[in-house]
Amino acid sequence: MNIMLVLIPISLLLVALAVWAFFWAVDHDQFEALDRAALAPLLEDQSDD
Amino acid sequence: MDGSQASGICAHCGEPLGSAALAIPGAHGLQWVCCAGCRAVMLFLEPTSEIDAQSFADWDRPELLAQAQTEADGQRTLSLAIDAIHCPNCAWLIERHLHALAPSIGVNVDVPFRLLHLTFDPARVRLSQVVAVLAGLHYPPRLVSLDAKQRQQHKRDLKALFVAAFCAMQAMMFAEPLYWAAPDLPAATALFFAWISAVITLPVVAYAGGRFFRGALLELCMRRPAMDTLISSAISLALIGSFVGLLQGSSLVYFDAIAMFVFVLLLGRVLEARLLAGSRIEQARLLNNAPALAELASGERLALNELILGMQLRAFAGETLLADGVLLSECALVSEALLDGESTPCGKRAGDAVLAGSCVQSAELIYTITALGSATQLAQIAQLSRRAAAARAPDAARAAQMAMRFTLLVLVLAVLTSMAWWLIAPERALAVTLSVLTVACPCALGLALPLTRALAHARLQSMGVLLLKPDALARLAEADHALLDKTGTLTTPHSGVPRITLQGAGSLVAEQAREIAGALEHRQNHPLAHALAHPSALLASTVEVLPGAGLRGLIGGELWTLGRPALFGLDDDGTVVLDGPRGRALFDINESIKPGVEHALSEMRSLGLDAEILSGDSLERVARVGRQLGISTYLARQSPAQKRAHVQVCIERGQRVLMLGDGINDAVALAQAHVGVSFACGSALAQTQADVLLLKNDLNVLASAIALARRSEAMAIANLRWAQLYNLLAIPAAALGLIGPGWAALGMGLSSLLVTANACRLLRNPRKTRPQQTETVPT
Repeated sequence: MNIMLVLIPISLLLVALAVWAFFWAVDHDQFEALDRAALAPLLEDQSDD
Repeated sequence: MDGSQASGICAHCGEPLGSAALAIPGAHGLQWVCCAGCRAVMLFLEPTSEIDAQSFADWDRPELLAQAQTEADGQRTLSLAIDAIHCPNCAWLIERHLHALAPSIGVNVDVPFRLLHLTFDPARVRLSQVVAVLAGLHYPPRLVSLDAKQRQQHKRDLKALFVAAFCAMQAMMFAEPLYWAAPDLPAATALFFAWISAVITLPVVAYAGGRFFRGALLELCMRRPAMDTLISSAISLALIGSFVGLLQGSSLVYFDAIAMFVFVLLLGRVLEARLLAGSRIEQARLLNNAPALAELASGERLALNELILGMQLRAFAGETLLADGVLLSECALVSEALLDGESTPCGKRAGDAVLAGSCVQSAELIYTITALGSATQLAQIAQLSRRAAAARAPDAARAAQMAMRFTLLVLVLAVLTSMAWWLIAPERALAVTLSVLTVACPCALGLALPLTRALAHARLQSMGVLLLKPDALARLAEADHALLDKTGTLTTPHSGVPRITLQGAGSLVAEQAREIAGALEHRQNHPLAHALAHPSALLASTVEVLPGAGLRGLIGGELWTLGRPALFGLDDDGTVVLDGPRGRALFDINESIKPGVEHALSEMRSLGLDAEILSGDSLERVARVGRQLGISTYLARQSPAQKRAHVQVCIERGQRVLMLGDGINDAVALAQAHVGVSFACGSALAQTQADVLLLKNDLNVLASAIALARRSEAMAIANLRWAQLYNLLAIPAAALGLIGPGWAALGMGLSSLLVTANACRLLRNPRKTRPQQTETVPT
């Protein structure tokens, strides 16, 4: 059971990381234009213009 | 590229120019293309922004820029409504072109709401350039005023929901061993797991559940404890209880339940808030928020705050007057329908007073400003309606009241139980109190009420009914007396063009009749002269005025008579009759009753709402409409303040007043009434004061909306009843220590499922037998 003492803090760290990543995404408008996201891979890079 | 039309070939594809040829203004003069497709490609390849920017110079005015929000780094953010946005491709096109204009612009296209959120630096990009690009792409924008806080709130909601959902899952994971393997676990390991789930639950309560605590604080300050009080006391008691247990070394804790509870309640809240925000955005899109510019008689254009008394302003047909003033033009036709309910446009002569907010019907007029800004009658009405809105009693809907009583009962029971157990068996007091709270957990209520409301909101939105205030649904359901404005609500105001009916077998045609009437009325100082004024090549000679409102004159050798029906022995129905050797024509200058109004009124009557007309128009016209619609109670010539006073009288009589109106003069009554309903095509002031907005100009939707609101309120109450019944059985059992926390949690879950399923019944169509009339009325 001692492995728990390592794994659980790691999982807590991962939780913190996930929350941070989600907050970052929300703050950077990643959830704003959801209709556009599907098209993004098909577009050329801006630098190609 | 050879762009001249003379070459006869398309500048893009080289095909010969056909009948569908189009011109594009380019840097080197006009370029001609053969079709709309080539035009679109040309514009795509060479945006014509610089050239067109001049015609959008109004967008660069400082007072417009002042409406943009200033960010910390000097950037401005602004929202534009673009009705032409249709699909993600539109968004792509707009983004691409604006980035080509200036890579520094932040472009965010909201496709569902057809909005463009811009972030730009005014020093580097002028707004007129942006607008020129958009207009060039055939996406003409409109400035709208959106609550910037709303987008921030949405982001906060997303974050809170994520924290609640994610951490609740973790808490459950760590609690799992405590449920299934508790007997086999060493006490120290169990305690370790319990501590971990406590750690992971804390952010859920503190961050995601924060709004419940703030809401509870607000409710307590207003001395109206309701849902938030119940929720936050349940959360905090369970949390404190679990921590006390934890410190005493017990692993019998409920952190996972607390976290899940917060998540589920938050979900209901966020859903409801999202729909309300959506309704508000839809409403905001309807209004053009660009600051109005006044044109001086000299042709110069000024912002409203630059005007001073005594300036001479020019207004064109269809425009709204911006200040109170005195007419300088010889004569003019203005419609004050939105301002005072008067259905016929009034003819004004030089020296007559004209009011801000009235709409110009004749070609053009010039007036001198006598009152500006807050001194205008319009501003005074706006001020009055703000005061009425502030004075309106906060609503305590039946469902909310039930929830409040229920809250108090549960709290008292929990305290009594813990006290009793403290006396009988102190070591079990905590566990039993916790299971009472878990059983009584208002999860079902906290979820059912917002969910029912959210579903009703969504259904109403699909019917074209927007709820603009948080308690609008409950208020709509409670309405039992309808006060109806006449002009614009029941009737379509007269447009200035008479409807002409020809009678008899004469050779007269409608256009001739107008010309003859126009010739007779030429230079007559007659009340009807303005309504029938019409440019006429004909000349009337020896015009004599007949006693009893009539005219007679010779036109081209024929004798024509124009006058009230009584002059010709007809019943007076408000029309004007033209009679002569070539036939008879009836000019109807009355407003017409909107199609579908009668059906809507009978629907509302069957819902128990008796109707009353409250109009600013003349008694004669109000009485006629009342007769036609079978409404026997009506009040005419009502000023905004009188309308408000009448609403107050009805409220004091104990009636829950639904005020329906679209005019500026209705705004005060709309704000005062129990529930105010307005139309999307009505005045801006009425829209901002209304609780409910009808997107279609159709009253039938209102009757269906009231029925739906009532069903949803009934369902909320049914759900509350169920929750009470369940608690009535379960709380005593828990208080006696008969129900373990596991069973309590199971009961809570099933109860939530039941109320959710019940709420979802709202999605079903209630009346399949009667087809709903939801066609838009052509206006």
